[in-house]
Amino acid sequence: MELAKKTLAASMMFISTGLFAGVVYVSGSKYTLNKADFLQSGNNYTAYLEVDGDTGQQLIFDVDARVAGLGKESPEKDCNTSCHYKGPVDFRYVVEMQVSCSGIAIGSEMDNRNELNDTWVDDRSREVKLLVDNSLSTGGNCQQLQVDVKGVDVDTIEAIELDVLIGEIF
Amino acid sequence: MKIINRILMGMLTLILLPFTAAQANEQLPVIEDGYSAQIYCECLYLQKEGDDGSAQIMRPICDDLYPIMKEPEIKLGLGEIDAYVEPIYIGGVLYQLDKADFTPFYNERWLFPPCGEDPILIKTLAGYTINIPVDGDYGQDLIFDINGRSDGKVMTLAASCGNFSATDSGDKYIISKQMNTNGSCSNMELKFSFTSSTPPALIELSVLIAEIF
Repeated sequence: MELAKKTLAASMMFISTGLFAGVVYVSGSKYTLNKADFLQSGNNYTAYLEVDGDTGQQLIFDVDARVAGLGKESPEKDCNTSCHYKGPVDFRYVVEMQVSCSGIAIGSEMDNRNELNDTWVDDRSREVKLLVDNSLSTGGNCQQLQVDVKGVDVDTIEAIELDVLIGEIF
Repeated sequence: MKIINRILMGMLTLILLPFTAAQANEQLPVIEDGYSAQIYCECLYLQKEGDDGSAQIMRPICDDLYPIMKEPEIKLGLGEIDAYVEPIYIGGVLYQLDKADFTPFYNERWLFPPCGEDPILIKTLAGYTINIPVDGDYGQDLIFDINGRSDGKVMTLAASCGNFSATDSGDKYIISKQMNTNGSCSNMELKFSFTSSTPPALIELSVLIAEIF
């Protein structure tokens, strides 16, 4: 009964003036993950989240990530021969995020901080933001959400900050 | 009343889940009816005694519980990995905004023509803003989750509601904050600002204000 009360209270919250076309009331679960929550394989990172309560209703998936790391340069910086190499230097930092649930594609996004420079950069740290939003019904088959963060063309991935919202509209 | 029923049902399914999830995930060997190996190994456990229904406190030997004490094997396949992250259960309101929901704002300056004609007001597009009234903040912990994109146009997004404020810039925006505003959040202001006056082709922004339960 306590639970029911709390739930009811929650449901009555945020009764907002419906001025905007795209306003929905949602309940669901939110996850905040960092790099340590991912399983690593080279520069590819994978996280799995258990999803329960999918009975075939319309689900909202809202996944966003900041992925920071070191870009890769070609040719690589090599101070043994000449530290004053005059370019061009092809700098790359490309990361992709793919989101699926029990094999059903939710969405993906790739972004980069690629540059073509005259010489090597002092700081190879870069960050991309990746967003995947979707609203769909999986027919009740969404049981495990899989988020792949792939360092497509990077030296390293140092940090991942991932927010996941899986919700239903009511 | 019908609506409330539906809400309750929806919420309850979501709330009941973490328990089943943990089991499905880790495939814990059940040692004794009702006692999972996880609990067994963590400290003491109760062992039921015969017929009289009493229970006896037992001290476990964790080494015997090889399957759960061992580091999980890394396999890249569905359903076999348990990097299990606890969800937090939330309820709230989600706005999906596009450019049409925003109001442009302008920098204004007066130009005084040199030959004494009437001054002219010059307005330069400086950004887009929206105010969303928020009800229901009575001092509980809130989650603010704002994310979206502006299709290549670099802008600064400033979000504020009572004590909550955050900014992000670029052509994508991610703001995620969990905090207690002491009940001060009654109007969410979102403001995109930029320097060059060309407008963004599009704005897409989802704004979640939710409470944790």
